[in-house]
Amino acid sequence: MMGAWWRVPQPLLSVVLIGVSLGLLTALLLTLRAHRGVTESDSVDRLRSNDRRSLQIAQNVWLRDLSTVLSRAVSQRDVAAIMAREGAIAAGSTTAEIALLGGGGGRVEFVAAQANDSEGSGPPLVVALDDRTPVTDAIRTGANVLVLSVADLADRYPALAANPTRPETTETLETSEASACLPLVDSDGRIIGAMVFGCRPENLLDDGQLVVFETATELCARALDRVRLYELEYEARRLAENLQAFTMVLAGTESRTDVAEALVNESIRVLGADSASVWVVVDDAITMLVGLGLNDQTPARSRRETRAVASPVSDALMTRVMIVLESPEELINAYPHLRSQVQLDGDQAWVALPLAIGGEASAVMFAVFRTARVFSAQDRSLLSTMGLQAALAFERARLRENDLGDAEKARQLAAAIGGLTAAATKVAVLAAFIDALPALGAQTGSLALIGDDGTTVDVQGGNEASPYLTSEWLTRPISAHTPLIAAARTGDALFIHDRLELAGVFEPGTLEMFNDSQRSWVAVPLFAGGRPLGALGLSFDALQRFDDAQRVRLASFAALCANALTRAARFELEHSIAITLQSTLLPKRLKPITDVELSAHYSPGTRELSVGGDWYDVIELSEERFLLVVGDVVGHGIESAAAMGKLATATRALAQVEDAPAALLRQLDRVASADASTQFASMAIVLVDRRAGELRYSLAGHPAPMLKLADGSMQSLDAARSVPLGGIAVQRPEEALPFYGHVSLLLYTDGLTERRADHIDTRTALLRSAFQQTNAPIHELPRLLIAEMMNGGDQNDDIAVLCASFEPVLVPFRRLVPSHASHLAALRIDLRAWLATVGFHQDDSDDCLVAVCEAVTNAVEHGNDLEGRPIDMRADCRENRCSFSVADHGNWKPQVDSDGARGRGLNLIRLLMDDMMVGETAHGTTVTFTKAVMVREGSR
Amino acid sequence: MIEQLATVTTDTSNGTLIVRITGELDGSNAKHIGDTIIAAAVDTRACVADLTLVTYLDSAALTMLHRLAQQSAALHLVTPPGSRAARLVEIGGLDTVLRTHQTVNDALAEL
Repeated sequence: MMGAWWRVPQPLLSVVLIGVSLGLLTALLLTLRAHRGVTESDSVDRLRSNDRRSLQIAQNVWLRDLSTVLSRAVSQRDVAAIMAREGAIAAGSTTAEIALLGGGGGRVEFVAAQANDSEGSGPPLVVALDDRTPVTDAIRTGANVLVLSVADLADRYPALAANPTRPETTETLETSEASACLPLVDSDGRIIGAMVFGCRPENLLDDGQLVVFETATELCARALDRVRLYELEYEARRLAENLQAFTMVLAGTESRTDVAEALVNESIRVLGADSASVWVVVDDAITMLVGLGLNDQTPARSRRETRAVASPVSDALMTRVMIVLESPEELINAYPHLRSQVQLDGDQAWVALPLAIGGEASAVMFAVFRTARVFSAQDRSLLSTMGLQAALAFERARLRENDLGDAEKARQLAAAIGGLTAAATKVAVLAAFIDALPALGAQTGSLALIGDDGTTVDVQGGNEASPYLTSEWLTRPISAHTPLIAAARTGDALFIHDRLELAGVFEPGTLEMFNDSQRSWVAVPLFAGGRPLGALGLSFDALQRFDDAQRVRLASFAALCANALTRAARFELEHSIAITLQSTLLPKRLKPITDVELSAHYSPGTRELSVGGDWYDVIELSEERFLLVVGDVVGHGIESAAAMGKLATATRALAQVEDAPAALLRQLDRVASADASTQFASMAIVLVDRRAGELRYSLAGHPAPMLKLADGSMQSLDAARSVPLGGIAVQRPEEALPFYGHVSLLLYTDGLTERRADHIDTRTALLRSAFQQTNAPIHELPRLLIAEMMNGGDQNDDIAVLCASFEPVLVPFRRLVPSHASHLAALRIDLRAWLATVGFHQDDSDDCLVAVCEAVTNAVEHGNDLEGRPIDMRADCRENRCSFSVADHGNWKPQVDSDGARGRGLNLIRLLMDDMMVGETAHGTTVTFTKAVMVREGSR
Repeated sequence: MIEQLATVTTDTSNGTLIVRITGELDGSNAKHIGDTIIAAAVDTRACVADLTLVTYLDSAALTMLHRLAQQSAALHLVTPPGSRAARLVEIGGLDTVLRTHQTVNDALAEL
C-alpha cells in the first residue's frame, strides 16, 4: 500500500510518469544494487537504541554514509530512491519522500513516493502548488511544516484528512501519525521542493531528531544540485541523438507519406507514444494519412473528421500551435464533447503537433499515450524541432508530388515510392519499381543499368505476380536492339503505342521478350547528374495514348528511381568504405599478453550505414598491467569510423602518460570537448593489474562490463559510472575491485543489448546468463555471444565485444623459520596475509594455517638438526591449487609417541589438506601438501 | 602480541570451574595454559572450557585438551558451530570422547 496522507482526491490529480530513459533507469537499478549498504549496517540497530548518546553517534555515522552513497547518484531518480530507502529507516522515520517543484513551478511532483514497507512501484504523484497540503505549504513558505498527529492534520488540513474517496488515506493516517516537511533549497537559495519524513510524533518534539532530518535534507539538496548537471548533459545528448537520427531519416524521404511515416515512427520511438498518426486536409475534411499503433477497432469514421468539430488535431491545424494534454481532465476541460470517447479509450496523454511553415499548417501529428506522461521542456523543444523539420520535408514532398500530376494518383504513387526511398541496393530499387507498377497502370517492369565500362547493360525485370528478384542480372551488350536498351543507350524515351509500331522499329527477335497480352510499351531513360544510368521499361495490357500528363508522371517516376539508384550506389560505396576504414582502425590482431587470453570481435550492423563508431583496444602498460578499452562514437558511417579512430589513437597515446581509468577519461574529455565528432562518445576503461590482483575501472556513459569469477558467479562493474565524453568539469569516479583466481571479463557496446522490441534490462540479463553459462574458449566467445544475442534477428547497430581471461600473479611465499615454537605466531601472521591474496575461504585459509604450523611444529620438535638451522617454509599457488612445503635439515628423531601428539599433527595435515607427502633424504625431511582453492564469492 | 598469544580467565561456581580462553593456542603456549587450568581445576566437580574466542588452535591444543580430560573431572567444551574450535575438535575426533556444547549456559545446564 503506497498511500500517504498528502494524496489528494483522484480527480484533482494528474498522475505522471517521470520520463526516465533506459540509461538512467539502469543506472538507478545498479546504484540500488551496489549500495544497499547503509541501512543494512548495524547502525540501524543503534539508531533504534534508546541510548541518546549512542543514537547521536549512530546518526552522525549514518549521515556520513548517506553523503557517501548520495555522492554516487547520477540522476534525480537515484537521489530520490536513496533518500526514500536510506532516509526512511535510518533517519528514524517510517517513510521518506521527495517532492520536487515542476511544470514551470506550478506544481509539485513526488519523484519517489516510497515507504519503507513497499516496493514503491506506483506512478509518482503530481499536486498543484496552490493545493493546501503540508508539502506545498513547506515549499511555498520555505519553512519547516510539522504535522504532529492525526488530530493536528485534521485540524489544519481538513480537506486532506476527511477524504472519503480514498480508503487507504485513513489507513496511512494511522501508520504515519506525524510528519516533517522540510524545504529543499538549491545552491542558489531557490526552493526546489521538499523532503517529507513520516515519523512517530515524539520524534518531532526532539530537536536532535529534527536536526538529523534537516541535515539529511541538505545533503539531498546538494546531491540534487550535482546530478542536475549530469541530467542536463544526458538530456542534451539524447536530444542531439534523436534529432540527428530524425534528420537522417527525413533526408531519405521523398513523399509526404514517407515524411509522415518517419514522424510517426520517431514519435513512438523517442517519446514512447502508444500510437501516432498524421492528419492532412483533403477536400475540406481532416483525413488520416498514416497511422501506427492504432487500435484495430478504431472505426473508419474516426479516420475522417470535419474541420468544424473542435479536436486537438483540428485546433493544432488551425492555430499552428502544439497542443499538449497531460491528463484526461485537461482534455475534457478543453474538449467537453470528447468526454465519453476519452473515458472509453482510457488514454492518459495526447500531443497534437502541427507541421507548419509560413502561413498554414500542412498536417498535424497526433500522438496518444496510454500511460501518464509529463512533457519536459526538453521534450517540447524536441517535438517542435521535429515538427519544423517534418514540415519542411512535407512541403518538399508536396511540391514534388504535385509535379507528378493529379493529387489522387500522386498519393497512390506515394505509397509505392515509400519503398523506393528506403531502397539501399539496386535490387531493392527494382523491387520498389515493381511494387509501383499498378499505380502506374503497367503490367510488367524491367530495369536496365549500364555497366561500369559502358559496353554492357544489366537487365532484370518482373511483374506484380512474380516479384521474386534475385541478385542475378542478365548482362547484354549495350548495342542490343530492344526498346529498353535503346532508351538506356540513347537517353531518349521510347513510347510504343501498339504492336505495329513495335514491329516497325525493332528487329523481329526482340518480340520474343514480350508476351501476347501486352499492347503498349514505354522505355524511359535514367540519368544521374546528366550522365545516362540506364532505363526503365514498362508494358501495358491496355493500349496507351501516352498523353502529356502520363509522360510527365513517368519521367518524374524515372527521376525518383534514378535518385534512389544513385543513393543506393552511394550507400553501397559508403558502407564498404566505412567497413574498410573501421577495419583498418581496429587492431588487426590483439597483441598477445603473457598469461592472458584475449579475444575481440567487431560486427558491423546489417542495416545500411550502421557501421563505424564502435571500437575496442587492449593496451599493455607493463608486464602484468594492461588496459581494456571499449568505446562507442555517436552516429554511423565514415565520419563516425574516423572519429572512433581519433579517440582510439588518443586513448593509446594518453595511456602511456596516464593509466588510471578515471584520469584517462578526464584527459579524453578534453580531447572530445575540442572535437565535435568525438563528443558524447561512450567508453569503458578497465585497468587490469595482475600483480596487485586488482581491477580499476571507470565508465563514461557505457554499459557496465561483466566479470565472471572463478566460481562461476557474476559481478557487474557498474559502480564507477558517469556521463559520456566531452562534458566540462565532469566527475569521473573510479572503482577498485580485487579479484581472485581465474576470472573472465566481458566488455561490449550497446549494440549487443539494445533492441527496439525488448527492454534493455531483459537483454542485459540475457547476456549475463549467456556469458555465465558458456564454457566456450575465450577466442570463440565474442562471436558466440553476438550470435546468441542476435539469435538470427537483424543486427541494427554495430557491435564491439572484447573478452579477456586471466588470473592474479601470485608471488610465492617463503619464510625461514627459526627452529622454535615461539616463532609460529609470527609465521601465521605473514602466511594469513598471503593466503588472503590467493582467495581462500576463511575456513580453508585457517585450515592451511593449521597444517603449516603442524608441519613446522613437527620440524621443531622432531628435527634433530644439530646446527639449529632454520626451517624452510614455502607456499605457492598455480591454477587454483596451493602447495606447501616445510623442510628441515635433520632426520626426524625416532618416533617418541608418548602422548600421540606427533601422530595427531601429521594426521591433522592429512585430514585438513587434499594430500600430503613426507620425503626424507640424507639432507633432511620435507613435508609437502596441497589444497584446492575454492574461490570465494564476490569480493563485496 | 606474540608474547600474549592467549589469555585465560577462570571462574568457579557451584564447584564447577569455567575457563574462558581468548586468542591463539599453539605449540608455544598450549602446555603452559594446560598446566594453569589443571592447577585451577583442583577440587572442582567439573570443568567447562569455553573455546568460543579461540581464533587459532592446532594439535598442540588438542593434546592439551586431551590431557585436561584425563586429569580433571568431567570436562565439557564450549565450541559453537562455525568456530575454529568446533572444526578442529571435530576433525581431531575429540567430540567423540568429550561433551561439546554451543554455549556456556548449555554446558552448565547439563551438569
